[in-house]
Amino acid sequence: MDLPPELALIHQPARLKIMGLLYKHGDVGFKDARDFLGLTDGNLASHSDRLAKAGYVEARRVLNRDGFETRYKITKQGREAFREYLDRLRRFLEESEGGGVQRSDCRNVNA
Amino acid sequence: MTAETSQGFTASDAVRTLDELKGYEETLASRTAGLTILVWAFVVAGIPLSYQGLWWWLSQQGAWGIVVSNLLWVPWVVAGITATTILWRTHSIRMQRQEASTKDWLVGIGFTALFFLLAGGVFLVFGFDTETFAAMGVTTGLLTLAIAAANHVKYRHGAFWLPFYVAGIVIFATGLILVVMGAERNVAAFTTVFVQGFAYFIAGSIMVLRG
Repeated sequence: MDLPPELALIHQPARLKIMGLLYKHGDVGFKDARDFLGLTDGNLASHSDRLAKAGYVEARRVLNRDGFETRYKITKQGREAFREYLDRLRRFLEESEGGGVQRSDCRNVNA
Repeated sequence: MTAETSQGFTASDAVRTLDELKGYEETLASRTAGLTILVWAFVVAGIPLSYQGLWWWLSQQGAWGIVVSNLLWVPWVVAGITATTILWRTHSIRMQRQEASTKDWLVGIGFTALFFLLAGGVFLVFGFDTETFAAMGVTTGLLTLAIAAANHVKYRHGAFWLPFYVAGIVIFATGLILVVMGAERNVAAFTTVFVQGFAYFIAGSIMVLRG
């Protein structure tokens, strides 16, 4: 699937999971995201950093009961980019015949 | 558009990744639901146990005894709702934690109110001289079935809630047998404590393990 560079950034397993999670939940803590997505600390930090540099995600340090924690939040730009990515993915699947993929599958996160 | 990217991550892979994300969430929610039932195993066993433990003392206290006996269940239910709220906050990822917390409390209070309505119904059906602990078992069984049905409809279909349905049926049937037998108070109390706690514990454990 050919994508413009700003959307190709999302088209990677870890970053897609992070964007999907944040698109649905808006604001998620580092530990929750790490455990939920099954990523290592380093993986989550590096991929979130790339998404933050693209302006899709905001990272901030907050103080909670367990001390300081990094929380991630999807930006308006990130939300629009993810929606655009899902639209392109859906269009691609609709145009593909017999691709062995059900189009309805990619609506799970978009709902 | 082509099916492959330079990284070899295809559109099909992307769809599967998005689907996995949904699967993770369901598994997490299912396990938290199972843990919630494990927490409530202590509550449903603790309430009749505390009444039985304090039965003699309460009967000696006159008016105070009546007041205390009307409120003895409250700390257990508050502890259960608090533990449940913490559990869901810890194990689920939520955007609007405060709103979810308020909703949790309202649902807990709603089911508590339903318990008293059901209890009233049980005494109306079986008569007001029905042994208290046996009636408690029948009521808890009915409430368990109502909670299982509500969650089944709202959150998850299939066999996930089956262990909780079975727990409700077992508790209800045991209570009914105790009522019909006209079981003596001590027998009814300890049977109710054991069956309620055990049924919730087993149901919760199965739901946690199956996810």
